[in-house]
Amino acid sequence: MGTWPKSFLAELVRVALLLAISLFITGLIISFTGENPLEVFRTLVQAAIGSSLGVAETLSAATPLIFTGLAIAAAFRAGLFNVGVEGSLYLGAFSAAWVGFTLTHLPGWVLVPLALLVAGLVGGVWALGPAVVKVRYNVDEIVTTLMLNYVAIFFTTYLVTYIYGVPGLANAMSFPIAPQARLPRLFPPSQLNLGFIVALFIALILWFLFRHTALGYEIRMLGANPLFVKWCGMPDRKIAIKAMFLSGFLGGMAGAVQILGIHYRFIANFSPGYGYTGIAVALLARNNPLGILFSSFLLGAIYNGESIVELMTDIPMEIPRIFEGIIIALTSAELAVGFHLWRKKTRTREGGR
Amino acid sequence: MNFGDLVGVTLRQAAPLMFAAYGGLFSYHVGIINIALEAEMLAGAFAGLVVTAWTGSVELGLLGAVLAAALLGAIFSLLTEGLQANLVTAALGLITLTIALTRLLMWVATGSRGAFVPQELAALPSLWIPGLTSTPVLQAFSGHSILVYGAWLAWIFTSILLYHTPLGLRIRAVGENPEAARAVGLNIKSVRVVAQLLCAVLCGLGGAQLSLGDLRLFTSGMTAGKGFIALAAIYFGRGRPALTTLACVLFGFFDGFQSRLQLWTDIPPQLAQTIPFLSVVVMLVLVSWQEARRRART
Repeated sequence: MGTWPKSFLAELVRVALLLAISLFITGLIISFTGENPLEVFRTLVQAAIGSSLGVAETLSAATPLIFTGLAIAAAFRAGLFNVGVEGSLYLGAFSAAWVGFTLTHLPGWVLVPLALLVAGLVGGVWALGPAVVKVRYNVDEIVTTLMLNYVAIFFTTYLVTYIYGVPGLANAMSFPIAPQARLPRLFPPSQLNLGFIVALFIALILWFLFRHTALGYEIRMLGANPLFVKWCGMPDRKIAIKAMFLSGFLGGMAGAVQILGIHYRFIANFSPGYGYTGIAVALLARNNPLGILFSSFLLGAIYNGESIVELMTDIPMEIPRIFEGIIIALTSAELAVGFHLWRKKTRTREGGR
Repeated sequence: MNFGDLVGVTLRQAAPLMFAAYGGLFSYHVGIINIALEAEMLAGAFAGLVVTAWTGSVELGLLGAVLAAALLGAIFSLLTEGLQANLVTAALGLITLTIALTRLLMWVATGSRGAFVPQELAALPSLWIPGLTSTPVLQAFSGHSILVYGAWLAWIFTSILLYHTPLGLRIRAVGENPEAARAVGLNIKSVRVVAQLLCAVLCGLGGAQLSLGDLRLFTSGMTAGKGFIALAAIYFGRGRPALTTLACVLFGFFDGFQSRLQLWTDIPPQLAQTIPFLSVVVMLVLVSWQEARRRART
């Protein structure tokens, strides 16, 4: 821990290298569509951070990604690949909307926290099933969580189509939430809302949790060395279940914030894959809650900028996903290569002795 | 309700799963948890349809499907063997990339965004089994695309290759004990790469059945978790080809069943659509629970 500045520098170099390679490959793919990649990137940066309104929209786009990034990180830290954040997000979003359009007699200062809490609980409970069968019967959590994503998306669509839906609409959506359940906008006309502040707050809590609490320590140890945890007599199963619950809880909150802050009602299939983008966010920040604030800003900027780029160049909204995919694929690779180069160097140095 | 129809749709839905699962068996036995199956299938589905539409030849389309999937398999091998990337994140990244890239390429090639439905597409030949065509119920086994029958041949191919050839022995040796395999002089990395490529080729054929066999169209992300379901089938069969086949047929049945349920009853389609995914989870839990119980007894 003494070489903090050095490791921080190494971390910066790692991220810069990863981004450079990913941008280069993305650029190659853009040029294949007949557009000039540099021009596209310039437009994208201009749109995302070129004006105060652009920055506000980028922060707004980053808000759900902070939550899903933290959600993924909570599970990854414990060595669990929770691909089911998207499912928790959908169920959380629906639950928040339900609270918002059902308990309309409550004042806003009760309704908003209640909606967030219920969304978190529902999202967390949704993640418990895969967690329990993982620790008890060793059922692969990647497969179960991914399967349950489809179930959650279909089920919420069913709910707003048949039970809580506004009839006669082509796009299935729920009744609107009560006006006092809305999260206030911070920088109109942008969509940036109080949810962003909540996200910052939660990121700080998670940083503290991982750094300074027993649960955080247990989760980190479980991810780093599960056998050590077992042999020490720590309750490894309970820790894993807690980590998955936390992950699902944050996923549920991600959905709630989008409903209470942006859409004001549940809309079927509303998420463009925030739960999956959270994987790139978390990996880029190496599951560090404070790092996630930066990586979510980066991916938020790309998503926000891309929507402008699409208007101007006619390229479909695929550039961010391609970029994201490359980051996810490379993020663990490049680490290892760096390590091998380093080892080779030290080995040759020793060899020369 | 038509029993023969249900058998037919089960066979058609099971075929892509079977190809991908047999491919995944090579990865499984070489010691790799391969969730890139999903990406390789999708690449195969896309390339198969586009090449067929361009060239007018199904044979070239199949070749395209296999090559596109193999290219992804090679990239996956490069990441995991060459660059030592984490298996799960490398595969998840490739899945995200493939979904986006096929959408982008679809737009570049055809100008359409959600789906690509070519007019007058050369079709995969269907196989009519003489004598079955007019027999009630049994006729359900006749008249499917050749890849539906190809999937059952792939079972034989996979079983023989894995258990009765030197290559299969090497694959299983590397998977069971890499250190011992290295000690007897096997090049572990190259065995792993060969297994990965075999896997990708079979996934490509599975993808081709999806886009060319039945519907003759490509929609973005059309594999919709089928690669993961194939992986679940392998887990269900604990790596054994016969049980894996059984799981694929069961999952194919649930998929066909839900589509027929929508035709026969007033069930809300969104609820029917959850059935195949729920059935995968339930079966996976049941088989693992039994396994755990048996282990506890011994």
